[in-house]
Amino acid sequence: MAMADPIRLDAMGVAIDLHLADGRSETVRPLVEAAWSRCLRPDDGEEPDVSLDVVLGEPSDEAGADADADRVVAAATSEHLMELLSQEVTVAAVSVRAGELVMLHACGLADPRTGRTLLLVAPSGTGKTTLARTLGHRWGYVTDETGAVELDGRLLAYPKPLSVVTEGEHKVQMSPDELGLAHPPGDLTVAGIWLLDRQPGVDRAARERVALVDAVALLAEQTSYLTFLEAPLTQLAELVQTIGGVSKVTYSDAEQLRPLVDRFLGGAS
Amino acid sequence: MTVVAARLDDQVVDSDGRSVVLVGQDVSVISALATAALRLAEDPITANDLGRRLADLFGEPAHGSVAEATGIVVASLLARGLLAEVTAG
Repeated sequence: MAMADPIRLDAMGVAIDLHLADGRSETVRPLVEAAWSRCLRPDDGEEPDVSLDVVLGEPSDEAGADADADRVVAAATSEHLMELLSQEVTVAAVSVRAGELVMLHACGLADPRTGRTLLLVAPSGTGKTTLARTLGHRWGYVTDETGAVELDGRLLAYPKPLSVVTEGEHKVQMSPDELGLAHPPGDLTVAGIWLLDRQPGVDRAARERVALVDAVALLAEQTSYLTFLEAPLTQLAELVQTIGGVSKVTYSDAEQLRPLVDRFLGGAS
Repeated sequence: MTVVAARLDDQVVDSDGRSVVLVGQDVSVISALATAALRLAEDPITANDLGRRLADLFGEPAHGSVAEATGIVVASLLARGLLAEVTAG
């Protein structure tokens, strides 16, 4: 039997091939291809940086996975498998780019015309996906997970699926296309970085400048593989100075950020 | 007591003299006084000499003696692993 084609992804410039392990696992192919619609890459004939075997089944079914795979992702339900896959692809990409990119835990929103991007930095599980869903219809969806900045200041998009909690309390991985989020242009630059401080009960978002050393320390906390970078604090400081400083934004609800983001990205109307 | 600064993996100093430092996996923001203390302790220095040099740079403390003020800074930097005590021998 001919081997089925892998699903080919590009995550922060990392080529990741997903191999669906068997006939049952093949049933998730349409789900994966739809959810990862903005990360699919064409077959260029090159070897991928990472291969993941994807198994829909009980953990014991992992035995049937490809021994050449770098890692096996297995779950008993398609919903759980999709959730794990999102985590594993991110972990794989971040691991490969460790030391090469400044990778901030951030939601990224870009001006669709110019590529100027605002990175909203916050720890995992504090509302970055909600911000992307709320503000990403107007501003191009760059990422809800990792703001990946190259040493020359360019930003790599990582438009992964967004994890959305449904009425049944299940997490569903949804494509930015399915959610109607705007496309960013190909060339992205970091125009601003805001450190988010979500405070329940705040009735209006407030933005204030953060001193350089405090900004660097706070960004360091939200940087993956910080110590793999050469002179990491110096690199963060250069990024902060290049964009003219970092702000802290206190807010309670994603909608409160809309006027601030609209004004910053220059599209208020 | 003689102390010496830890080997810093990276440091960024702000215009107000404060700095952010990396030692191993740990990132700390330290005051202008502590930043100066680390610089003065690049080579081993006694706490007394360190206090005198800091007083030259920042003036006498508003409250308490130079020795007391230096002791507080040194204890804080020792606790954060940014200074180490040099033992004889």
